[in-house]
Amino acid sequence: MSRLCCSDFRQFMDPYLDGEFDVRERAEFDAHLAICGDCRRHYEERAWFQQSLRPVLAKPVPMPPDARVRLRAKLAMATKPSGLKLWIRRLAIPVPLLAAACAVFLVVTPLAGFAPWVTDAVDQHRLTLPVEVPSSMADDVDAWFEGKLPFRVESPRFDENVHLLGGRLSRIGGTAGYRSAAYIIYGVGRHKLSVIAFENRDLDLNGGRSRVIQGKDVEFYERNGYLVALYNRGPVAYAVTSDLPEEEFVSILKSAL
Amino acid sequence: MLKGLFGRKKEHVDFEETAMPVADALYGAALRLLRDPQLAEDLVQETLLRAYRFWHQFEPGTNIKAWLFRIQTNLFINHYRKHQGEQKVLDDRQVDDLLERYSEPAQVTIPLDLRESFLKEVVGDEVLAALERLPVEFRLAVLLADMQDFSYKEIAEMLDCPVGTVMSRLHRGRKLLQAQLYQYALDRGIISGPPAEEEAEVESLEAFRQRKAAGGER
Ligand SMILES: [Zn+2]
Repeated sequence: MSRLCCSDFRQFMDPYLDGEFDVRERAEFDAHLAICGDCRRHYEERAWFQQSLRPVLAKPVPMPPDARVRLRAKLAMATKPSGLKLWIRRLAIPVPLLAAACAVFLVVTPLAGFAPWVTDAVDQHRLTLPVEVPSSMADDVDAWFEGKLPFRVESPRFDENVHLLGGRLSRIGGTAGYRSAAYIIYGVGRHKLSVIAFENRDLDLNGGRSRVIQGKDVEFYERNGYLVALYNRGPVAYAVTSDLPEEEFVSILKSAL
Repeated sequence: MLKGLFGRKKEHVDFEETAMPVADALYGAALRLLRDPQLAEDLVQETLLRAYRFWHQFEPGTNIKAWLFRIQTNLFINHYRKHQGEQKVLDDRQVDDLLERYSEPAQVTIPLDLRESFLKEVVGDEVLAALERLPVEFRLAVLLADMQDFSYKEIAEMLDCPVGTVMSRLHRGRKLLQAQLYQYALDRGIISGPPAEEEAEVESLEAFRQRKAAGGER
């Protein structure tokens, strides 16, 4: 086992202090601390400083009560169908109960003219959900989805600069509730690219702009700085989301169409 | 249809019991990031509305606080960051200056006998003020680690960056915090004098020449 030097110790003092190391790594640091007075003094100082600051930093700042009331009202509104507003107000139900009651009548409302699945595609792209099938082989990922979804998934085969990372089951919002979907994620340099596949019957294409790429119709949507490209293959829609510039994005799409 | 109705209702109860208790923590972090109660309230509202909309994507049993902070952090980075007034934040030159001046741990050492007065006079509102002056990427790392107790891995997922980046931002963020407080204590005479080594460092070329001229050993 190689001995830890002082500069390593000092560089990695934070993760050591924060309990980020495993048992074996910890032991190396413990051993260095036992033999090196200089590092021990620095470590002791840093630990004291962290310990003194922490209670100040971690002191809770509760949400003011009126802000909390407004929050609950907003949450209730988010699920409140307009026709029922008056009826509920007349009954003067307390806000939490009101919210519970309204949740029963949840309607999916498209935001700013976008079809709900566009918003969903962008949000799922941004959240980077963990994969259930980590694999770089498209065939393996497709096989994993078999039997789990009411349609067959064909993960797009992009060019060699786009690396498949894996997939998971997901859902996507539609005008008539949620649909099951396949979520497939790829890496392109430091960027990522996500694909959501779902059945395309009665698909709302509101807000898109059409382009023809490799002779295929592709709908483009821009939302919060992300581009979503949608194309169909038989009964399945593939929504590809990325933060790449449009032309780079299009040349990647070309390789899969 | 009926099954759907009950499903929704149960979802709302779950949300109320699981997500709403995190509202205070979200608000505390939002306030330190945005430094404006109205903006902080807006950010928390938007975070929880979004969480409610995507509640079906939350896997029960996984860490709800990490899930909500990931949503809030992303909203902050993508939409709110531009709203915060940057004028009170340390600029690049000040950051470099502080990091360089206090590059050695020995330079920010507070003598044992002065620790108590340091704690009493410096640790308090001045810590929060120093935190709020940190450039936003350092402030986020310090907030998520030291205010909210998230692990490096959880923070890396929230910021969409490697664990090593979290470590270096946290390291520099904490150092900047320490350097600012040390400087504050120094300016107010709570602790005394910059360490002797620093003076020696500044004059080293001159000292070196003198030593050469004298032809002597150090
Ligand atoms: Zn050492």
